[in-house]
Amino acid sequence: MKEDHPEIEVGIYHEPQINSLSGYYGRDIIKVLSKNPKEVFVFWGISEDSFTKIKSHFNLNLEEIHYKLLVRYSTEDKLKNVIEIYLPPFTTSYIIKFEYPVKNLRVEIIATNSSGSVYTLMQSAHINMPINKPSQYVHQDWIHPEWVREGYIEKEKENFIIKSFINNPIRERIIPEVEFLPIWESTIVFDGSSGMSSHVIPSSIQKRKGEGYEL
Amino acid sequence: MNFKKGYQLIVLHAHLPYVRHKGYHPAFLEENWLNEAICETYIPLLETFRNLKKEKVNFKITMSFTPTLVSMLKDMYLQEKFLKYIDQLIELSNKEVKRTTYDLHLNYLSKYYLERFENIKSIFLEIEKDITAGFKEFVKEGSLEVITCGATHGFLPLLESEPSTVRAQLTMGRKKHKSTWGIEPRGIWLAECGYYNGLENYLSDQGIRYFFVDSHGIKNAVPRPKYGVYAPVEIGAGVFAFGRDLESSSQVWSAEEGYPGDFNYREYYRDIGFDLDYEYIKDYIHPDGIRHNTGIKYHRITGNSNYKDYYHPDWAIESAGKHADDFLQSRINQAKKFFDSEHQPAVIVSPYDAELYGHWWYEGPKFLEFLFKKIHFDQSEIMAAHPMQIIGQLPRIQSVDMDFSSWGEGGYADVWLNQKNEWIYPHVLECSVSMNQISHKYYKTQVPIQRRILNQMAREVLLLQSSDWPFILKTGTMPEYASKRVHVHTNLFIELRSMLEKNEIDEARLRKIEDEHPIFPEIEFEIFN
Repeated sequence: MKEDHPEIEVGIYHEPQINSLSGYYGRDIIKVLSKNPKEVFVFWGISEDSFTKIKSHFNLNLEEIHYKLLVRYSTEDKLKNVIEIYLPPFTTSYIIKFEYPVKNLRVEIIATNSSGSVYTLMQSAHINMPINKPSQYVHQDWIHPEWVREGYIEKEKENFIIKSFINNPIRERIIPEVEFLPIWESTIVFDGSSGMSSHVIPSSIQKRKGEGYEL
Repeated sequence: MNFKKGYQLIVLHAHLPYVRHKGYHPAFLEENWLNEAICETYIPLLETFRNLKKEKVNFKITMSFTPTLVSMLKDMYLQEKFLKYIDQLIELSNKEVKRTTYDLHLNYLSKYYLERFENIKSIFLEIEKDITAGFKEFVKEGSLEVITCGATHGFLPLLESEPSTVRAQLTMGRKKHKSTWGIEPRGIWLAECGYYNGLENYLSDQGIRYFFVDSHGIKNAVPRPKYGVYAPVEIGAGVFAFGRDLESSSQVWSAEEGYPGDFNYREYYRDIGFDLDYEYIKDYIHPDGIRHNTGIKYHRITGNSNYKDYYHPDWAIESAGKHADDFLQSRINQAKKFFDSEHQPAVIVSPYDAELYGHWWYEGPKFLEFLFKKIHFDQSEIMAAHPMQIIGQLPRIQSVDMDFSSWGEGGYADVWLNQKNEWIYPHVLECSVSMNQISHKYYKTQVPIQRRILNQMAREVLLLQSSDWPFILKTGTMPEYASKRVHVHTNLFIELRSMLEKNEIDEARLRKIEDEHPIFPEIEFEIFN
């Protein structure tokens, strides 16, 4: 209730219809949201117009048409791959998980009939995925002298590459000091935050729900 | 400045989501977030700055004040709410002074709180209830660099597919900053430190020169940055990124080793709102009987068990001094190590949520005061600085390409996009796409009622995009409220769109919606073009 006019006015936040959301906006839409280097969240909506077009394309009822996600992606090694994901009826979103980081991808929704004929409904924009590791590429003006002295730098075509230290305990030990600054260490992660509802403060006790201690 | 071994950048991100529910009875519990933050963080920080000024300490600090926060801090209804809140605390403290006569230490603490709340009220009245006015003094004299944020703290990597929305978030953020502080922002706090490749172009369009990223944002840049997080990088369009230093972050943030866990510090979770008899405390908690924090807390962390000893403010202050010293020594060691190796000053960026200082870590503002005093008086190896000062001092700055990163758990979008909150994105993006289309369709319309509807639609969609709702849904602290906000903003947007498109205008309803969410009175919907 609004305290100004308690008898007649219901505040917007208390209106009964405010608590339901439409699951369908009647628009053709496909969005791919990058969650982390190995996962994306895809959601879509298909308009009435598009359903009509599919039906007339296949000359079938909607129940006889199947849908798939076609995921085209490339890896860091520039390998291109395609995976097909069969969609159960009424699916409107999907989480795609990769076993290894991918560099970029694009998702299509396709409709098929029983004979394998394909109709492309929508395709997403091209998505670049973050690569969660330091680059091997170094700029010639920004090479640490120590790296050169220790033989860590190689020239590959026109690029300077920092060679991997992995599995080389001797090199690992003598990597220049700057390599050991905190950024090269394993990443410490913190919870993201949103002001007052965010932090986990060090404490030996948890917030209580019921009655408290008597002083 | 030229002979220092390091520059210390303390960055505080002050943010609260827009929570304003005028006229509801019982009042929304969430409105207390602002009251608590004013009482425990913003005014105590102001006191810290005043103390530093009084002692002629040359301090430099960078603070982001988000557009939602400054909108609330300048809102007369919320200012009056705070006055009522602090008056209630003073009344409760007076009651406590009488109640606790049976115990000398409790009585001392209740008097301490009474004095504290009276002092906070007097500062609030002295700055004419406008917290931003209090901070402005320090902006003018150059100690405080204020930076902006996206209009409603939208997590931009998840809005990347709608460039008009990203532009609108940034444009409104810049405009609000200008109208609040009287100056254009040079820097921005990207909500949740969320960056994606290409964002620099939008930042540059707004005249933004720098922002902050988590350390892996710098670490994974291409080519590999020579100095890691110890120097800013240029990422194109004349925009610079500063990387978070993990060592100084963990000294404060870490749940296991962080300073706020010191046994002498005030225990956050022991509050008389929960501790005292219901009949005694009922007038100072929610009218529905829901217990909540009052801000009066009599215990210290004490140890790892449930046993809690009384709080001793003097012991806590002593710990804050020791921690400030430890923090400073750690930064000096870091800077020396880097300088000896690289022959260039280290840039150490230590960003925190402002509300950590005072609200969660009660002694945090005192820690900052001690830290700046120690930097000023006790050493000459490092100095506190502002970001653009550093850009001007470094001999050269490396240019790199950066990828998507954030400061959330996992380093990307997992906090704001997961099983608990992914359901919101079809609604958020539907409204964002629609807002862009409609703003093109009605571009520069001069029909006043249409402009009012369109401007309110812009407000609703911006509020819907706030990163706070998915965050709260993830953490589970107040999920019903966050879910309600997503429902309300989406439905109001759709209702207004329908009103406009069907030309069935209900002015009384429009006014009611405008009154419900009156943020950004200066908004022009064309920011979504």
